[in-house]
Amino acid sequence: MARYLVGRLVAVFPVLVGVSFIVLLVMHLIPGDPAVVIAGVGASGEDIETIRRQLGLDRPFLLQYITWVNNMLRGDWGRSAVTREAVLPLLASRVQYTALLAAVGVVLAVGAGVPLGVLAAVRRNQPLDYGATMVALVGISAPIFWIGLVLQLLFAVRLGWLPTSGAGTWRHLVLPAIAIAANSTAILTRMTRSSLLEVLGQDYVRTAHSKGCARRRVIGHHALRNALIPIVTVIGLQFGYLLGGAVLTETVFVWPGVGRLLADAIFRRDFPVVQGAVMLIAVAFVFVNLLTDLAYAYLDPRVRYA
Amino acid sequence: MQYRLGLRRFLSMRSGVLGLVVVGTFTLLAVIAPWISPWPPNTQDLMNTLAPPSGEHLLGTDQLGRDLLSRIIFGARTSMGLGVVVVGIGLLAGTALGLTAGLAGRAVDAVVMRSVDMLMAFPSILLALAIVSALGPGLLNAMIAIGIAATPRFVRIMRASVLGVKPREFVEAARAVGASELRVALVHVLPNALAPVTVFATLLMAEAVLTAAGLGFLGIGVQPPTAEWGAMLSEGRTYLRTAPHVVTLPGVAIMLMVLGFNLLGDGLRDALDVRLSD
Amino acid sequence: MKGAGGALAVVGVIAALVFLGPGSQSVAGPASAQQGGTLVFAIGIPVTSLDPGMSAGAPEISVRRAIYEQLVQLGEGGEIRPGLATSWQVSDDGRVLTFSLRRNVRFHDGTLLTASAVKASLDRLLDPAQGLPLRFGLTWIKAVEAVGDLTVRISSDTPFGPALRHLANASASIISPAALRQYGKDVAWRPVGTGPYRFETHVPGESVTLVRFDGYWGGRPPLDRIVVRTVREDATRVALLETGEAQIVDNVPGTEVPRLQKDGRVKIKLDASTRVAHIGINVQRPPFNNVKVRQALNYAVYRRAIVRGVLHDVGVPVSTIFSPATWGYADLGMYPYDSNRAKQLLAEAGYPNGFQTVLWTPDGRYYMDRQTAVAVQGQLALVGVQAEVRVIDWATYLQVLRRPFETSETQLYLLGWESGTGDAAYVLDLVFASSAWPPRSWNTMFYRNPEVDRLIAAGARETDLRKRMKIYEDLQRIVMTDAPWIPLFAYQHIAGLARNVEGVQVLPGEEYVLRDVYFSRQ
Repeated sequence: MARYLVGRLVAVFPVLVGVSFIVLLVMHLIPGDPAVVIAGVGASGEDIETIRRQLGLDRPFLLQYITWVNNMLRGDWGRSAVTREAVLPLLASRVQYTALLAAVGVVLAVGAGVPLGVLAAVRRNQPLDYGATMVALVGISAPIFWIGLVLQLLFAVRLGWLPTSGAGTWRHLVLPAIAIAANSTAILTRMTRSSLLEVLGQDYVRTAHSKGCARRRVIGHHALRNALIPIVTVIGLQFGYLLGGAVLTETVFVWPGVGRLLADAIFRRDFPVVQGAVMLIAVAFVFVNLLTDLAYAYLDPRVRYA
Repeated sequence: MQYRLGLRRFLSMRSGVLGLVVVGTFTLLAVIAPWISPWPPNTQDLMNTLAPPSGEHLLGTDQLGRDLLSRIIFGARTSMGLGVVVVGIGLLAGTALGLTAGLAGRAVDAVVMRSVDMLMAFPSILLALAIVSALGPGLLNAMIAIGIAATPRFVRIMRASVLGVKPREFVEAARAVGASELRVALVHVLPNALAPVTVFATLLMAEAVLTAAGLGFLGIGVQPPTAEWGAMLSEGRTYLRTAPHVVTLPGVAIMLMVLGFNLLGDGLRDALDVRLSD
Repeated sequence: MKGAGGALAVVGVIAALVFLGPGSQSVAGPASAQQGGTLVFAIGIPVTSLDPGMSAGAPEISVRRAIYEQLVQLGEGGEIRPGLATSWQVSDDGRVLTFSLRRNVRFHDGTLLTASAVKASLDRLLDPAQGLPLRFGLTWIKAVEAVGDLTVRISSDTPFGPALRHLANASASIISPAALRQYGKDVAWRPVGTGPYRFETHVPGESVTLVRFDGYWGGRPPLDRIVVRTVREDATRVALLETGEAQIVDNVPGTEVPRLQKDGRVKIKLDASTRVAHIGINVQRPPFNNVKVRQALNYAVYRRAIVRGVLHDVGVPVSTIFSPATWGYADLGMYPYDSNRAKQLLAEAGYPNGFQTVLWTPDGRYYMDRQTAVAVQGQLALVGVQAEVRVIDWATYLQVLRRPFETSETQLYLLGWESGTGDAAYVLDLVFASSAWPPRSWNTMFYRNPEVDRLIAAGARETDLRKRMKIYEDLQRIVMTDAPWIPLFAYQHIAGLARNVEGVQVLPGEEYVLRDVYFSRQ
């Protein structure tokens, strides 16, 4: 196990190198560059060239990448090509908000989605199951901007209970957390239901049942534990993607997270910011996926890596 | 036999049949759209925009005065196709990679899963921009971009199921009687590990449609004025308060599509699954 | 299925709660001025730089205008008023402007305003090595000289009619020379000007906070603090206004205007903008190299319907290259909607059955840009021109439009040029001069007419306003006969204000002047 863990941790580095190289290469190949964006509408061709030189965009691609890696290793994440703000503090100021929103979102989604899924499975094809299906369907089909705007209109504009947008107090967190959790809740409800139905049909559960184990105990202990592998996977995936930033939720609720920052940086071809954000997101995915994999072994001792 | 379709059992399950009916209806609508739409989907009437439902326009008109009902009917073509192709890409690639990684383990698992980590961290907006600049703006290219972006999740879910199925007795038993690895993978592991990805796939139909719409402003995906539910929904957001029908109706269409595929998926799974029978 | 029915019911209940009836709590009472208070100003784009030389959107420039001032100021009606200069003279040959500076003006850091400070700021902007993109508006300046402590002389090679308007532009802001020395390029986030509000802090991409500058030459500014927040989602900005979380909201969507006008808590401020939405035509490329085709397209678009349907009447149809808000605009009455004439012209040009083409558009850059393109597409289709609308992301757009002629793939494209100075010369130099072909500048139509070039030069030189107006009228007639553009409409700028906000000015370039804003007592 220890060897497996060390191996996984070391594997962070090839992932980071791979992602950063491909990202910079793609940014280099697609049309548009930060000089054009900075210059905006009206600037002369000469000025665009001057800006390009100032940003070092006239240098060969590989040299740009090596310089970036070199600086990065010395703790210098560079400055935004557009706003000239230092990338590291820029990211640091936003990571906390993204992490907070993602964590609360996942807790909400698990807290609502898993019980709802269990109930739906246990009361299969009964009104409760249909009710859960219905909630899940709305959560999946409604785009996040729709959910967000409706929440905003309801709780901020009409009822005046919560602020429309922004970050700072727990009251600011409520609406974006609900909006961001809606989709994950829906997915978890359906996945929990199906995974549970799957194991409920398996032999040993029926055996346990016929042996006279209480139905509640069968579902709570045997069945759920085995159904948990796909559920944990989905939780890990949702958490990972939320840590990567939720552009639409952040936009609607003006939540200062990483997602919006990254999206803006891509639109402006602001590669120092893109690279920095992608590094953080890659680390987040690697660790969340590692935790998920460790959870399998814990949930089902028969699952072995090595 | 693991793969025999229990037709009788399928038909005996109300939800599966209902799913089939819903999906069938949408498919039919998509096919006969030109004959049943009351208006051409792209005919504008700028003097009659955002009109509420009326005798002339049964579901009202959109922001360019186009007939909403006709656009929703025509939208079935693009949206369903989009959802099916995107999910198909993710499901096929994800199942294959997840099955391989989960069964092979060790080095293969490490290489596949670290590549998946990389793909997950790669911003999907950038992926879309890369595809539009390399392959052009078409709808198919958007489907490829979204399908690729969705693949890592299918891989991880499939691999998780495989890891759960791999140590079970019947897999050991199959190996013990000398079944080839390929046979073990396809005949014994795959059918028993398919359920979670199938459910996830039907749920992802909605996300595929909504994501495609979300990428529209990058110039990838459904090009205006083509009727497509996700694009209608996202273009209608400006009118959420003044003309809510413009944004709500395409949303309901997407919901019904997901419902249909979801129920159909459940039904098919139950029908395929011998273990659920008595 | 109960699931679907139930879900519909849920949607219905939510809809009823959210959409029914205005939540109006109208407040009434006599208004009187109130000192102090914090103003939240919600804009739709992030503030990327406070360096006056860096290109920026109008809301961003509004922030710069609260911090910085210029030699002269532009009024809401486009008139020139004294700013940091109290008076100015134009030499007889029209080539030298001499400004007398206001006395005892201090920068936020305590430095005194002098002629050398003005020279330092303008020289910095004009220095090509600085790479400041907004330099383009002031390249007519040959030299800036400090003549004594409070006199500045600005000279050019030829007389330049709109010189003062360019000097009133935010790009010609006067920066504290001490700050320029100390911070260099970092002055972008260490702005030190003479304006009524000074920079306090910023949260990157989110907000900028300004505080009252007590040493302001014009007396104590009315507000304690201005917080500029970036709120991209239109609906969220409107919600902020309704809940009272913001007091000025930029770019309210036109569809919301009728509803908000009935809401007693808010006011809607409409201002003419110099921005003209148009379809640019690559005039060198067949079939658009035939002038009849370009004229046909101009007859084929139904501008009034677009303004009605797409803009919800918040805009003005135009069939020339300027907005009525731009100095130099002439109402020529050309190109009334006439699809028969369009078809006839197309037939004469050899395209009786129309042709296929591609129409590029950004999405979300200008109000209703993509929808406008789709509306145009629908109207062109009626005369047989099948245009495929292609949405292009902005960074790519900037690049592909500016490709040199040899590699250009442009056919039709949507853009919205505005005049930052409120004067016709601005757009003419950048877009219609034959010397402005990409990649040098923005003649992305690849348009060339020597007569137009001559008139552009004549108009810039002319200082007699009546003669100058005549030149621009002739020029517009020639350009619109050549028809390198399909002008569509001039935008109206829509600001949402809390009921108790007074003194807001919006310039024709959609920039706010926040100097005189105050809260009235209700």
